Amino acid sequence: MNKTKKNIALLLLVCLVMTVLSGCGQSTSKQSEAGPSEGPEETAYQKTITIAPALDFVSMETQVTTSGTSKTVFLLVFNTLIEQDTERGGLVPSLAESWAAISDTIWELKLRRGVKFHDGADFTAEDVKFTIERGKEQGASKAKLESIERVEIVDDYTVHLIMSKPDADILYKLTDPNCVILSKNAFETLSEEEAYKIGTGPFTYNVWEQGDYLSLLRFDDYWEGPPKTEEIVIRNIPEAASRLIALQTGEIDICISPPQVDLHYIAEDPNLKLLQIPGANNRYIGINSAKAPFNDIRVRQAIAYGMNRKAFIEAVYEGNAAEHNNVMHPGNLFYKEIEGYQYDKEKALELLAEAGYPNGFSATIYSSSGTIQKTVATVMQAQMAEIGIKLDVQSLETATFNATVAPGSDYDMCVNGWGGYVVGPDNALRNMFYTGGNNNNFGFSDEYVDRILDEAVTTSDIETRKKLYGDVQEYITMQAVFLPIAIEMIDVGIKAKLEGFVPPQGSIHKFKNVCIPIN
Amino acid sequence: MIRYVIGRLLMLIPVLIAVSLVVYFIVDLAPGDVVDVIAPDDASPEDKELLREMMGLNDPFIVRYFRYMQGLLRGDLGKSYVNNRDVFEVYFSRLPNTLILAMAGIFVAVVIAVPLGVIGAIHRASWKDAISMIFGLLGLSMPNFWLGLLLIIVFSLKLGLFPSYGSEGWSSIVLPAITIGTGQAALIMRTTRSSMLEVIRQDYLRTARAKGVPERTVIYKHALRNALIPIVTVMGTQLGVSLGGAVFTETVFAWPGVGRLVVDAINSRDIPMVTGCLILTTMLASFLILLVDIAYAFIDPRIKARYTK
Repeated sequence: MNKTKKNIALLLLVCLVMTVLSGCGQSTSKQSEAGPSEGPEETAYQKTITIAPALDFVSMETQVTTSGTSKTVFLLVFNTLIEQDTERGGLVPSLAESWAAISDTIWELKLRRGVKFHDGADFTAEDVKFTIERGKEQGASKAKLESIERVEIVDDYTVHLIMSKPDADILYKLTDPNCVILSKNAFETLSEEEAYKIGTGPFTYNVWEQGDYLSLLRFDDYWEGPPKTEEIVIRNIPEAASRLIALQTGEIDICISPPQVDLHYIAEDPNLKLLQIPGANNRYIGINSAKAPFNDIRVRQAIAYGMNRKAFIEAVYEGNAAEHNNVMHPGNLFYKEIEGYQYDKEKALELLAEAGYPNGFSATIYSSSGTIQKTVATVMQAQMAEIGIKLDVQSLETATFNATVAPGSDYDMCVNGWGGYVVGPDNALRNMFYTGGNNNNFGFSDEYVDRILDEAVTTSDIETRKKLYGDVQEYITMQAVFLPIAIEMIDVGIKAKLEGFVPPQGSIHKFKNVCIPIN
Repeated sequence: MIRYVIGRLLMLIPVLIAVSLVVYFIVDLAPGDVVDVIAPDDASPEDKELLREMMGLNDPFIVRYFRYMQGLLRGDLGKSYVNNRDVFEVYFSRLPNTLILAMAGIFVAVVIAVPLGVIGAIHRASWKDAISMIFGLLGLSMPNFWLGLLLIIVFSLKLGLFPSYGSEGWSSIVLPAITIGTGQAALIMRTTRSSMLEVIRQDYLRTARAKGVPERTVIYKHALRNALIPIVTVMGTQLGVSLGGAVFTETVFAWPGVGRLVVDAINSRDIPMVTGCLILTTMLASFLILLVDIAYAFIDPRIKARYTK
């Protein structure tokens, strides 16, 4: 008996010591520190803001990587020439103070004076010329900069962009994080790996433990004035449920894409705030119109009429997405409200019978292995069964999926998403629907569409462009190769006291002003 | 003994060549390549082809493989296709985390499993045995990611005792180690129990008891030591598996180990990263198995005598 008591006492003691020690360990290592950081005013701000995005930061190569999280970081460490104002809309100056079209093929950019790179060097026209000409040869920036033939330096703070052809979207393209301005001096004197770390942005690279975290420190000589937050940490927490718990325990300050089924935990917690922002992604069903029976527009129309978007919104997104029926994203300046296809089962059956398929047919729908994509494919399978089309669902991991539905491949239908509207209307439509477009995996080729897109991109009058893009987006939508379902929401959980959060640019977040006042 | 160790190390060479060939071949066989993953949405097919050409992906398999092996002979494991970082450096920046997690996991497993296994064997068919069997069954059946999330909810969110993620500070190892250790404990416990049951009926133990040796000494000195060989083998195997990374545990606890590195690399068809990581993991696991073999000699003098011959 005595022995048992002794054992229990020993066990309790061990538990007590573990508890005390673990408490100490936690407070020193992980909680976002509420350090005494002085802001420009009297208010003090939390020293470190910890952000957990859904995907990891993978590369510092600004002109090469396409990763959304990496691009989010580039907007903290670097500046673009022009920025998108995601709160009020439109373009605002950044490293370029002003811009004007001198002719259809020449843009004049006046550059900001007094801007310093992180290594202390001054920002000048040489850096712009270097960045653009280098970017024309690099994987991710190439498509954005290829319409610029060359950059002419007028003086230290004026450049001319000489275009190979008129490109009305070029200003939007320059706002992409793949086009941030690099330091010519750094690339000439340092290794490429080191040179990619030198920017003009409000934060500098501090420590990168790949797969774990990235720490950025405030740049005190930043041209807009130093940020209120001393350090931003980008934390890699791949599991959405774990990310949410870390927000609830206070270990992180911003949680991007918590699990959709658990959003109510954030909404119910007075210390947290749930933000739901329409995202960049236009989720759609793609149809390979080069292949029978989908080369018959009546079959494609039947499929479009057979889709019940309301059911998608409930079953796939639990109501957290906006129904959408246009190939263009509503965030684009040239978006036009259209009716598109509305659910009509009778009409779908009629069209199928007319096309010679009164008993339907069988086909395969491909999706990537993401939860949303797989569920969309399953709901589509159920809805098509209602009109007699038997769909076999194939869920593939990303690289295999991309290869299976690449332009020119022999797939039937796929679940896909498109967020290319951020870099202008031409980019949004040309890549997808122009004959031979880079992302045109619908086998779609239409002389009218090609002509209007060519005309719109070379027209400078904004009203004419609106008319042209309005007509063409309605026409393409009715061709039923890209069957829109929903504009997906970006869910973000933040600490209730957090300030400075602005809507993202597409899927790229802008965190340079985030801060948490502590008194 | 030394000749045996050298022989075993030499055997590693064909093993590593086979591993590199198989991994390189399998990743190459999968549809899609790294360009499908890293090229931007607006890249033209020509740009993608150019990228493939620049990365040497258009060369025949055998040419690419021999180019890779040439680098490997010079100790160069290549650079990641995705971010151009040195494979060797990236692997070794993650390895300490994996080793810590593997060791902590096996520690938790042994602390739980060996006493339970011994108790189960000595009190065979009693309620104590039943409890240890139930524990074994639970440990084997609970999925790691489920147990991990449960531990986070209870000990991080509700009680606030341990951090919910990351690898900083000793307190961050506790929950991942319990998660990974519980599954391993089940296997070690069952092996301990059955191994002990075999030994416990041997005549020399009866003799020891008859000579008046205390029961505790009989069990822990005479029985357990003789039952250790299968237990050490299972521990070694479990540790070897952990070196490859415990992907689910690493994911739930945002633990930056080798497992997630390899899975991410496979998803992005980053052949140099996948092949490099698996070659290094094979080397480590082979060394570990060798250590286990050497440990046999210390546990069982009969085996040591065989090595000496």
